[in-house]
Amino acid sequence: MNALRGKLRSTRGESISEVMISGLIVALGLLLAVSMILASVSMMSKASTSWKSYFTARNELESRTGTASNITVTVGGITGLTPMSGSWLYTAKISDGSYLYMFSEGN
Amino acid sequence: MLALLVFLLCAVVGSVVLASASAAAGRVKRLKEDDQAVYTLTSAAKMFSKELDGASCAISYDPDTKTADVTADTGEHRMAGLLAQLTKAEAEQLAGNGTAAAEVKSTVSFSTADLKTVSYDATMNSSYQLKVVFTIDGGTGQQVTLTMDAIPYENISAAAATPYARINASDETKIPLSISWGNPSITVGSAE
Repeated sequence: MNALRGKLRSTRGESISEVMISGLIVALGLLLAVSMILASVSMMSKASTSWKSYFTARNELESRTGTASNITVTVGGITGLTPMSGSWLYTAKISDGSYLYMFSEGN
Repeated sequence: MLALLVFLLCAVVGSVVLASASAAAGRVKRLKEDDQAVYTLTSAAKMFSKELDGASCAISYDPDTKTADVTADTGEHRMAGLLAQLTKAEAEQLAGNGTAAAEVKSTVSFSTADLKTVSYDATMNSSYQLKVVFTIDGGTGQQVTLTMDAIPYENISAAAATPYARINASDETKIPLSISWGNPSITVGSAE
């Protein structure tokens, strides 16, 4: 810490090699910072698209406007109950290629 | 020296930001899994509710053997057999002849691999109130609970309105009693 204080108070100049090396380090730092900022802007944009897609999919499911297909539901543990047909599987696609599902008995 | 300090500071701040961003991404992935589980469980609870709301059972109690004969109309309510099984067990418990708990544990499975199998645990208390707890993967994650109240079928006095008193009344008259279920309520919560 004393060395740093001494360096800051010193009125001696820097050598050309010190200035060049520090300039290089500052340039590298700036380059890194700019590339990270650009990457983070791109990630924020992707995240925003993903959220929008996710909540659109949820709305589709809850309003039952997504794709629907007929499924059979089997409830165990009830004597004499056979598998029940007539239920609908609702599907909504998210931007990452995955899906959300829910089912409903009847429409 | 100062340039190195600035570089070090930027590197540390950048690492912290990236670490918190990746942690947030993990939470978002978990959110989707949790939402999917809740959709599946809520769908199952709504199906039970739709199938059981308004279903009724007729109880015929034999005081000599202390056994209850319970029948349910499964024409309109296909799953009413669940109520009959639970009501029989609970009625015999209340009459002092029950050894089996009024509980049915089983699964709801689907003809598609897109939905995970749901486990359910249906119980009935001494007021014949139905409680069904739905879970996925052994019950450690999300859970959805359906409750339905038992509604007396006949207009009877308040003193005789408790299920136990109704069975005692049945002891004397041997008239089958009826109970129907309604007021479905679905609640979503975590098992942990």
